[in-house]
Amino acid sequence: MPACHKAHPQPNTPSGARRIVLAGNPNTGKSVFFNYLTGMYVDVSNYPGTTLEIYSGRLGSDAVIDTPGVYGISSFNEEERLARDIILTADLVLNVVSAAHLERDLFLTQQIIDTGVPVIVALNMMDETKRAGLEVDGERLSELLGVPVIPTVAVKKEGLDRVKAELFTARPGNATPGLEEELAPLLPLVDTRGEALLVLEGDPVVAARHGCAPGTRQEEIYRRRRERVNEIYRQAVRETSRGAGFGTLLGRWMLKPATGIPMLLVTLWVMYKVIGVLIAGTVVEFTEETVMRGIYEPAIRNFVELFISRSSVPGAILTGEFGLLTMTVTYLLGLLMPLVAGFYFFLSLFEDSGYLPRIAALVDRLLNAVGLNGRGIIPLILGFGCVTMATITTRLLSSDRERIIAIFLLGLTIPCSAQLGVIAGMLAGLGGQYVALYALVIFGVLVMAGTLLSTFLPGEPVDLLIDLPPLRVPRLDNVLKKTGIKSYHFLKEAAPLFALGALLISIFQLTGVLEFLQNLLAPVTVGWLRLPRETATALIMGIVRRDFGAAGLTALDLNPLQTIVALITITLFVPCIASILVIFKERSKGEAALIWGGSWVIAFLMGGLVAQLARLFNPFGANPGVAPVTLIFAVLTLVVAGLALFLRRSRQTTNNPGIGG
Amino acid sequence: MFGLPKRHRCRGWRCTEQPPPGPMTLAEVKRGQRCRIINIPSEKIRAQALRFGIAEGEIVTCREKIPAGPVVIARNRQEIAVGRRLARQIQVQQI
Repeated sequence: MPACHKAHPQPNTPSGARRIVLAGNPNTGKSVFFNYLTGMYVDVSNYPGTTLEIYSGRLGSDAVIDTPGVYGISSFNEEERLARDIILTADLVLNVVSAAHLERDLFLTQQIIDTGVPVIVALNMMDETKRAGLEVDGERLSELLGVPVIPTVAVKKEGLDRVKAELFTARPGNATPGLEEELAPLLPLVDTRGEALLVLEGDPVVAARHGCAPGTRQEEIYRRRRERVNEIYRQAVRETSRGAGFGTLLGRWMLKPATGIPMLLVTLWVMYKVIGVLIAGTVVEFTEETVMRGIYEPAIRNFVELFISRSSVPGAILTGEFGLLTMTVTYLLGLLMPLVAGFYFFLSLFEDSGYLPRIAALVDRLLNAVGLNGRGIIPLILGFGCVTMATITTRLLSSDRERIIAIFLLGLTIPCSAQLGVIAGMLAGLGGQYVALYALVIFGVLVMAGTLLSTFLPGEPVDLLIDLPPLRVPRLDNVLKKTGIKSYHFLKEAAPLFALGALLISIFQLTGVLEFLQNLLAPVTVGWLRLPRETATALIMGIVRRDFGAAGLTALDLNPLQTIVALITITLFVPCIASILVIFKERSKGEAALIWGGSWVIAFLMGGLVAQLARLFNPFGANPGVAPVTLIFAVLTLVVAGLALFLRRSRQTTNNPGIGG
Repeated sequence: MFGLPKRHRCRGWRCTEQPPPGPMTLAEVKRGQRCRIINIPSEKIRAQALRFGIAEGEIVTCREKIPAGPVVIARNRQEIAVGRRLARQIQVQQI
């Protein structure tokens, strides 16, 4: 081992305060413990160097810090790296485990114990063990782990007071056998035992921090830890029944395509009814029109006018057409907030019940074709709510390659709920064949763009390897809490960007840049897309907000084919200004610029292709050839996707001919 | 598919041919069958699988096979879905 040097990256805590860290697998109910321990006072902060947020609060004079749910601590993804760094600097760890899922959860517990930090275990969800046909012996578990174990049912507040009272009885537990001897030579070289453990386990980041070569024993240590965990499980848990209850059966049905696909369709239909009809219609009507436009906007306009004239430049920027205090606030709170909360509600419901990983498994194969794996379904569904929100959510994807593909597909092909509302209204008046043409072109572009990106981007797709937790009835308070937290995060992250977007567009309008762009675009819209000159205005508005662009089309006098061409173009057109600002923030400048520019090219290319093909098949325009154009696009999609898949396969064969052999 | 050696491909109740003896891949295990994991290809995947309790040498049950999609395997109460491409690279021995 080369000489290590000591290094200490420290998140800030006031001196003297103890750092109490909450850790556990995903969905074990950590947040309930966090809220119980810290009361209402919660700090949300960006952890230095990452885009993930962590919560911290106070318990007396000590700090309580939450960590993302992980299965182990290492460097497999951003969440793990963050959890690792927080746990390594803890004074004590409150490890929340699910009693019905100990085989999985105890691996993390044992790994935390191996770092040498004092640990106390909350054996949560004790009420679920009976239903699962399990009997967990908490005292035996405590004996074997060497740390206090307290049974709890967090959502019913059972055992929480005991956890709080006995928090400081936490103590270092029994390490994985053989580890002490292996750690001994490292300890003088590295600050703490925890960091020594991670160096030994070959964690590249921690090793680099100390200037050590990462160890090569990860697998062996993991294996021994797994054996120990299995042994503890055997001794502390007794299976009373095989527990093939209704939940197990339902979980199986969700995975079988014959039953799983209809179930997914029904779920999506319910989602559409609730979000697309109830929230987008009734709720938004009230929040946007009645509250924001009816009460808030006139009030704020009158108030600002006391100080600044509405026709002055600052007046226009604050309360004009794209005003920072009018449009931005109305849009965010009146329109987006109810929709985003609705989407997050369903997402939390799926997450809490255990349905989400099953959806991911079911659609995995389909998403493989466009270079994503099953987990990619989450941002794609969220995109129908708000592309900005979905773009932020792509953080959960495990590779950079997947993030680029997902962000590009979201920006290019997924119409957000606001835009979808306008589009649906315009499509309703046309015949079924026009709707089919629209849907096919958009879906075709998604497939073509995805397969091409997946073929030509360097790297390999990440294979799905996902835990399928037992299904359970979602806990409403849990779901609501998650919805609230996620919606708040979205608002916090997106609001400044929406404001910046509004500011930019006000400046464009006031300086005449907007008009200039409209004139610049006219030849393309008239000559190539065969649309009226005024369509350019709608497109320029589409740069700001996607639904503005679509709404701008309703004012034009278009024949059915022109409507379809215009809708295809506006759907594929650039993502709204807030989305593109998020992309700039999340990705490199060059990539964001490429996505933005690429959307222009693809939107005009596809829209124009439809217009020109339709003219070709029926030059006199009375009854344009919709059917042949639809067919040509279907064939084009198949050919492009097929070609891309073929290229990828043949490349794989030449690269690693021995796979699976 | 491409680049893989030809293996036992027939399925369904009409099939009378016995699967070839010796190691096969996880993708070839049928629903309900049990098998022992012989080899998991990448170190990173091995580490992730170990956290879920699925290790080389362990016996797992194939709970479900989503057509052309992931293979769902279980060990005791723990279920995980393994992408088909990865399942083709995991060597198992049928029991």
